[in-house]
Amino acid sequence: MSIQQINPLVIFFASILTSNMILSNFLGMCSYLSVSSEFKTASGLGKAVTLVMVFTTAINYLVYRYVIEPLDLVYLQYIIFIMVIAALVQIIEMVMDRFLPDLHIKLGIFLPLITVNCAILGITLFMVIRQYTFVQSIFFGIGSGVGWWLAIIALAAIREKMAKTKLPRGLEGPGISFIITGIMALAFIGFSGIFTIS
Amino acid sequence: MKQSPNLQDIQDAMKPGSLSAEGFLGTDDRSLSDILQADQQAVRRMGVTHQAIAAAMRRLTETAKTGLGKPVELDGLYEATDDEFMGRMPCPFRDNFKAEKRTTTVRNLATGQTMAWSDLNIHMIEAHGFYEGFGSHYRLEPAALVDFLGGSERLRTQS
Amino acid sequence: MAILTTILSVSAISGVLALVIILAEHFLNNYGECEININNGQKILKVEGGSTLLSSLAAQKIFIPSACGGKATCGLCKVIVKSGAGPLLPTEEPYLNAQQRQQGYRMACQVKVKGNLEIEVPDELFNIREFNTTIESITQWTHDIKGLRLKLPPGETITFKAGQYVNFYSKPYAKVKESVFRAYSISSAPSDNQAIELIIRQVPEGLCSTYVHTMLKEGDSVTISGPYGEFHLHGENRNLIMIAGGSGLAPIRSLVLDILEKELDLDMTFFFGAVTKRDLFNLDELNDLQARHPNFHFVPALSKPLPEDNWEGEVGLITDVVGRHIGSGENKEAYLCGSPGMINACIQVLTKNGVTEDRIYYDKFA
Repeated sequence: MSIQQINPLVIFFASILTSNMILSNFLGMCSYLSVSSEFKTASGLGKAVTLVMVFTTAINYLVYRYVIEPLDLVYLQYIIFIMVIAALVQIIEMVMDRFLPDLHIKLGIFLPLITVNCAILGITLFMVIRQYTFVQSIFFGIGSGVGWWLAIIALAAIREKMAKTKLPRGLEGPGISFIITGIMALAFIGFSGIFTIS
Repeated sequence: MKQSPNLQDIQDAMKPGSLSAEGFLGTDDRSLSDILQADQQAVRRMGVTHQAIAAAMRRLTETAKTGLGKPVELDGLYEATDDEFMGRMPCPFRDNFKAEKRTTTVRNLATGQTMAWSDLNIHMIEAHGFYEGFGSHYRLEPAALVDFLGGSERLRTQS
Repeated sequence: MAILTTILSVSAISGVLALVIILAEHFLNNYGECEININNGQKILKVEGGSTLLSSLAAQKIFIPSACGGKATCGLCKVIVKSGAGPLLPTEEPYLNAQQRQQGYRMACQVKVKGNLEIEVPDELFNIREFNTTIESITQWTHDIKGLRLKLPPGETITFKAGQYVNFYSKPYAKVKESVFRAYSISSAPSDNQAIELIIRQVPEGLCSTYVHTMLKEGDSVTISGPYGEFHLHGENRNLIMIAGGSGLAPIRSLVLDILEKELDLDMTFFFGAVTKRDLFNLDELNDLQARHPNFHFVPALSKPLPEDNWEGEVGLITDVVGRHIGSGENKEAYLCGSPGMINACIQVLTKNGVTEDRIYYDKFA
């Protein structure tokens, strides 16, 4: 079965469970680790990342099909994708400031930092490499976003619960976050084999 | 490690010139969350809590208040003097707490050692576990503070 | 050739993206002209949208009280916004309780003017004006208290009630990069309306008082706004007990001078307390007033005079001294100005001696 024939819904679930951006591919770790100390902020960031992922996959797909391929600019694709992502995040920030000012303040600096979140560029490149169709790309974007959101709220919930416990000095902060993430990733390996999307 | 935007805003409010001339962070270049975590572990290792420390400080401040600027003795162990100013100091942690501007200077009668703190210090220790950054004029080193207040044993039995 | 295509295509794409961003910004961030309706049409302002309510109003010379410069730390800038404010922001939450939220209170420094607004503010705010004063003189009263006399620009006068305060704006200096302001009570009489006098104590680490004590010289210009405050004579014609410590002398002095000038038929006893003599000041003027006016009694007191003070006046905590002299508190009013500890202690001794709580007035700074 060729990739284009895979059901978009399968792609959606796979990108949450078997191909989770954080837990399987270890992409987007930077803001994942820093914003996971508080559940509410983590959830907000996860939703913002999902939003950005959906729009970037959609627009980058169109840019790839109608600009990069026809004009034979494949060697420039990284630069072009990053430019599109940066512009998009700017616009989403403006939209949020206008219509969702409370969430905009809560996320603060982390909203523009989504631009350099490697998960965003990652899913765009996955989409290109796996040659997904437009619909598949959309579902892939949504699924990756939901998967990222799931991973970060799981870590935030665990960290909030662990905030009062005694930890060995060297493991506080990033140390324990990595260990928790590793254990979650191991758990998610249990899902592998259910779906194949690449 | 980058900290949540909330904590970053609070850290900015603690810089010199924002809420007080020298700020609350002194010459410390660690992030606020690192400072809080380090002090949290220091206090825990001594077997006491922020609340117990704050309660002991508060006892001394309340005693000093009765003197209206004149030194007052407590338990034969300490002499506390308060100096009050008008106005209120908002807490940088954005919890709508406004501390009265009061400095309590306490002298340990046995050792002659003096320590001073503000009402805001007591609140920041009790509610946020914040002892100010290294090099800050009002930095209270948890170990030195606990020692001055009579040792961890005494704090545990008092609270 | 490939290089040319590369350059052209990358430039074209960045150009298109930049254009999209500019368009988005134009439509999203441009709020146009907005109307602020104050007190049901009492005043209607047209402002350019995009700034906070606090700064938009200040630009139109309506000064909402604020002590933290819009950083969401002081909670003073609450106003009722009846419509047009958008959802409650997380920065406002700690400062508005359930009842305030229900009444429509919002923090003016956090609400952005994005459309037409309907707000309600207290009437007194319309009386408040800004003045660009010049420092006429600086007096070093004690080791940490300075007196300033600020002259208003020629032709301008300030109308205030004795006991009120002004907001004093510092300028950026040393590590302090922004202008801050603090409330200082006016110590001169209202009749002296082309200048105001202030008494300012150096607060350790204080942003504004450090500016006053280290940066200001005669001839410097200072911006003030006012008058503000509920601390003034309530006109009930009762005999007065006044208690102050340190810079708390300011509003009391204004009240005393005003009452003596207007020759009101009131008996005043003023208790001025400190620990040692070095913290008392302005004694000559006050002793002189006592000598010339039979209805003004001046009682300075020290709680722990040093031998070199050669103190022959009252000794003891101010509360004890008041207790000794007060006689009956019935039908008297009390005006207090000083530190919170002193005020609380004095309230207790006053009520114990018969002054009812509703007749005890004190300046509550935020």
